Amino acid sequence: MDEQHLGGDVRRAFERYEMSAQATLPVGRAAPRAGSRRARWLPVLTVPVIAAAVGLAVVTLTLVPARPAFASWQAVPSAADGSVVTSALEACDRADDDHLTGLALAASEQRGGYTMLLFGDGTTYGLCLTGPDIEPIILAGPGSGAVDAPGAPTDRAPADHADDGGALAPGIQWIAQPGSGAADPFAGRLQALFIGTAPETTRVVIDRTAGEPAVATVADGVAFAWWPAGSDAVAVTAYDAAGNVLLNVPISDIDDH
Amino acid sequence: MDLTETYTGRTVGDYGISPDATDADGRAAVAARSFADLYGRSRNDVYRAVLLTVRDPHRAEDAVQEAFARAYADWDHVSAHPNPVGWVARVALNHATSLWRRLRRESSEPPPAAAAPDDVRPMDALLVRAVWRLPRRQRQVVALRILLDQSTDETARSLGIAPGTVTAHLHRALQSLREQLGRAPFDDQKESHHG
Repeated sequence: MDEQHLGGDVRRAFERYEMSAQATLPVGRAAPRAGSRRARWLPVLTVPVIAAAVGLAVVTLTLVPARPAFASWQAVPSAADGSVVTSALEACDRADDDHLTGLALAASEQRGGYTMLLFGDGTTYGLCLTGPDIEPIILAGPGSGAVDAPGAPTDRAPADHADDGGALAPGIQWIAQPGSGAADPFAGRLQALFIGTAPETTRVVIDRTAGEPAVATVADGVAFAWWPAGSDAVAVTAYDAAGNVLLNVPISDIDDH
Repeated sequence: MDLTETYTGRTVGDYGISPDATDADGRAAVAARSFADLYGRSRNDVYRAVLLTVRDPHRAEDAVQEAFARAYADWDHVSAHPNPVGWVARVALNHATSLWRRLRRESSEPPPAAAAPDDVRPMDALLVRAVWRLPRRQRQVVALRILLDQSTDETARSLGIAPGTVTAHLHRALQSLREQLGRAPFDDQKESHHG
């Protein structure tokens, strides 16, 4: 089978896949710019907008004391109080009527004043972060970039798995990391790791470029941790119940494409 | 943006608008039509390329919609781009993987909702599975080079890698596919498929 034939076969094999009927022309968001209309208005609007922004910044800096984001965050999570979980659950439900639909509450954790809830159905997971000074943040859920747990292992690992393909077991089976895309509602505010764990994993620790390592919450076959933006994950280490290191994975191995 | 000649090489007259129309509304109409043309012509191709890479039909569809929405919002720029399909594909691929970057082991099973009956072309399902077993970078190269028919240089630019690396990944991918198909109990159907 020569390369041209094989390429044609690949093309034909994928012809069966098409966008769903619901997919429509995405013209509702913004119209194409027509000529220089925008450019004509830009100088007119620029001065008052800048003036207003400067004024707002001055007022804000004067009236609101500087306070680091997520100031009460803790590297080691604690169990969330039942009433706190109930409040967080209600807040997450109110904030999200789509991404967490169909997922049941699977676990929770507390880091300072912030409560993270894990929702899941065994194959898809979503996270929701609540706190006293933030609106609930949905980190993932169906349709939102979803933490859709990988399916059954392939019957064999590819011969070349330099960038992915093979299971990481023992200890960790997969790692998902929030990106830094501007579309992420939490971009620039916090970072998180979501990790598929092997059954023998009881503790997961994330080394970071700054600050103490973040200890993940392990539950329901997954582990998750988050921390305020400002430091990056360096490595993930999984431990068993006896404290033995099952696996240490450098984050640099994560494929960013 | 000169809309008298768009990425397709078509002229204003091709869209049923007088070449003399120079007002903003006329240009906007031409822009909308040229965008619709790109969308209708390439959305499934881009979708297949993204699906081949991310192996998740919902994520792929979201990403393609987002990419086209961005293209529409920035049509002045995209329509003048020498490779608008490649632009959309790159944005879609980036979007599909930006929310959650993954390490290792994603599903390599075809999404059942999207799969056609296997009795249409028995080798197709086998080949899709084989493609999805390729490492991610090889899948990206296959998606852009084979499904979207992008050149080696265009693929290299889209992925931010050297053209030689594209060639090497494609070679390894096809070699791997040949090996996988050779091991599969499908030789009779495979041969009959080729006639």
